This record gives sequence, structure tokens and C-alpha cells, in this order.
Amino acid sequence: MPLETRHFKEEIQELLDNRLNHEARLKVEQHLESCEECRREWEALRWTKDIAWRERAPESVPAKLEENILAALALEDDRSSAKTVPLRIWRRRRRAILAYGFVLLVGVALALSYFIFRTQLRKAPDLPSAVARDYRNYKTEKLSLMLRTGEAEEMESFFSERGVAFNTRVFDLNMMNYHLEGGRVHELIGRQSALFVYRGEGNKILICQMYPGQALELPASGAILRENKGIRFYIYRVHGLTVAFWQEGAITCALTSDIDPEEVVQLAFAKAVKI
Amino acid sequence: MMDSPITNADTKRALFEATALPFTKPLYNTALRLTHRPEDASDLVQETYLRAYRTFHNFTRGTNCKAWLFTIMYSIFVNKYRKERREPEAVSIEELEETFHRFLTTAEWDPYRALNPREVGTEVDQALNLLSEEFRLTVLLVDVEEMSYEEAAAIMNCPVGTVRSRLFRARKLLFIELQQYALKKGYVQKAKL
Repeated sequence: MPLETRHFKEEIQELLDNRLNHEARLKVEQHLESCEECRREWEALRWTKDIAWRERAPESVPAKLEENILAALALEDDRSSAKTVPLRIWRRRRRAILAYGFVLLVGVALALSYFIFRTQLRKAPDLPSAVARDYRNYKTEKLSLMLRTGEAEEMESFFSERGVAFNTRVFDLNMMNYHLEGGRVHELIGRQSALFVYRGEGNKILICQMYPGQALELPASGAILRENKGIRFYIYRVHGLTVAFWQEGAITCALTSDIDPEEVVQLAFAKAVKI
Repeated sequence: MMDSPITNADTKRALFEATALPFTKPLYNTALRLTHRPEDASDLVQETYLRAYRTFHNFTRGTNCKAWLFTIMYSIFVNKYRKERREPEAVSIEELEETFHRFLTTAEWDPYRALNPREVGTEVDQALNLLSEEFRLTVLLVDVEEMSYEEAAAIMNCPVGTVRSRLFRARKLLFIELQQYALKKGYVQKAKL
């Protein structure tokens, strides 16, 4: 069939998206002048394309988005440089390191065996998921408290007596209408943790865990970084829960709850101490 | 200057920020229309930038950074954020053409009058959301973000012909949805019922 005797359905779209060469374009434009049906189709599709294009700018980007992206990149840089430092040392002091190589090798092998044994060959720790799991287990009564007390000092003494190898700091959240319920000596991905629970109005539950560790172990993916009083907070959202991590010396604290995310962050801001 | 691989760690961050950060807004706009939740859209965009930063050494300077970021974002969306996938509209092409032309011929449709944004405001957003994910994304990439068929095909990992046929249907479906709305509101009148 000659091109001119049919309607130009596909060519109209190509014309609309500027994908025709000069000759084909002229042919389609000539056809549009003489064919009412194709002209109306062209106008309707051009109208639709224009209307869709108006969608280009209506949404404003959340104010914190770019800040969070930059913070996530900074955390990624920190993690990368932490990984590359040992390599740099190796390159610079190769001879000295080789002199102690054998001894170190034995030490590393022993440490590795111990680590493998302790972690039972588990994957790299996903701390946000682990603390979120503990929260859910407590809420569904799969995780019990070893001591029920409303006294922060009694809770701290309990942790000390039960062999927790670091100083715990059980916060007083009474001013914020959260009351200590009790705690337990816990294990968080192969390490000892002091876990204590608060309950607020409307049965709201907050769980705090303190464990020996570094913020660099936390995953960069999904982290929202906030800073307050010179302390860096790593906020994660895990299946509807909010987990706020921060570093206090050699100890990492994690506050977890299903309450409003900003409330968790503000509670963490209020109780964190720079060490 | 010859394009060279990005190897210097000190310049990587500055180069990445200068190259990739200007696209935060289009990425967020599209992420929002894919996830429908501002929190998920923010997380998706943040994760996109993090993955892009980790693989920035694979990015060839001078090529289309926006399309590269969209490719990463769509891949993360498909693997992590997509909750349920609605199949493309089951309506046959004949049926679609018939409805489309019925609106062109039986409604007093005036393209110049209908362009008034007052008449089609948030309804465009709603009409876009009625499209299947593939149709919606195709319109967003080609009509909103002004990408080529080839770039859209690379992002959605499909042949260029698929982009063409999705656009062919999606624009007509979008037109029908908007005309139905305009008809309901009395912005256009049926010539014959």
C-alpha cells in the first residue's frame, strides 16, 4: 500500500519524539495537513506529552535528603579508609612486619579460629537488624528480663554482678515519661550486651542495648546520619522500627522503638554522652 | 583533556558530588512516583547515591550521568522496594485505539483550551499512577525527563522497540484517563451521547 493512502499512526509518535529524518518529517507533516484523523491524533498526543512534561518539577526534594546523602558518602569514605590503612602500613614497613610475621601469623590464626568459633561462621553482622529482632522478640515475649526493677542503679549493679565487662549507664527517662522496666545480660551477634527496657504511656516500649563495638561496624546502606552536641548518631529504619546508634568511648549504644522515629532520635540526643 | 579512570581517592568525592548530586531532584521525583511513599523515595535515592559512589570508578566521564543514576535506582527499586508488580494494562490495542478515537471524535476536545493547567492539576499525577509501573516509568523517563528511547531502554533493561510500544499505549491511556476526568468535571462536553 502506498504510504500516502494510510494513516500515519507510528510515524506520528516518531514525529512527536523528534526521531524522524528531514525527509520523513516533511512527509508526515504534509499528511497531517490533509488528514483530519491523524491531525487530531497528533494534537491529542502532543497535548498528553506536554501535560506529562509539566510533572517535571512539582515535587520538592526533602530538605534533609542531600544532607543525608553527603553523610552516607562520608561514612562510606570512613569505612574505606579504615580498610586501606593496614595496607598502607604494610607497604611502608614491610621488612619490620615480616620480621614478626611468623609470630603474628600464629596470633592471627588463633584469633581467627576464635572468631569463627564465636560467630559460628555467621555472615558479617547486621547490627540494626539484630537489635530490631531483639525488640520484636521482647514485644512478643520471646525474650525475657532477668531482673525487673525501676531503679537505674540497681540495674547497673546487676549488670556488674553478672559479669558485664564494661561500665553500663542506665538512663533515667522518667522526665520523658518512660519508666525503667528491667533488663538482661544479652548476647548481640556474638558479643556481650547490656539490654534494658523502658515502658511509657500507651504501652510504648523502648529498648536500649550497650555493647563493646565501633560505629564503623554499622552498615553504610540505609544509615541516616545526625549530629547533636558533637556526637554522631546513625539512624536506621528496620521493618517499621527506628534504631538510633551512637558511640560512647569503646561502647556503642542502640536505642530501638516502634514509636515516632523523631521521638527515638530526640530521646537518643537527650541521653547520649560524649566520651 | 583525556577522560581517565577515577582512581585518586582524594578527588573521587569532589568529582562525584559535582557530577552526580545535581540529579537529586529528578531522581527523587521519579522515586516518589515508583514507591508512592516519601520516606521510601528518600531511602531509595540515598541508596542509589551510595551504590553509585561505590561503583563510581566504573562510570565513564563524559557519558550520561543522569541515565547511569536512573539505571542504578531502577535496579535497586526492582530488587528491594517493589512490593507488587502490576502487569501492564490487559486492554487490547484495538480496544485502546477505539476508546482513544471515540474521545477524539465524539467529545468536543480542544487542545488549546484543555492545556489549561487549572483543569488538569493533581489529576495528571493520579492518572500516571493508574498506569502500570512499566508504562508509568516509560512516560516519566521519555516525556518528563526527556531521555531518548535508547537511554530509557538501558534503564529498564528492555529493547528499544518495547519502549516505543509502551509509549504508544501509555500516552493514549493517559489521554483517556485525563479526558474522562475532564468529562466528569464538565470541562469538555460530549457532542453525542
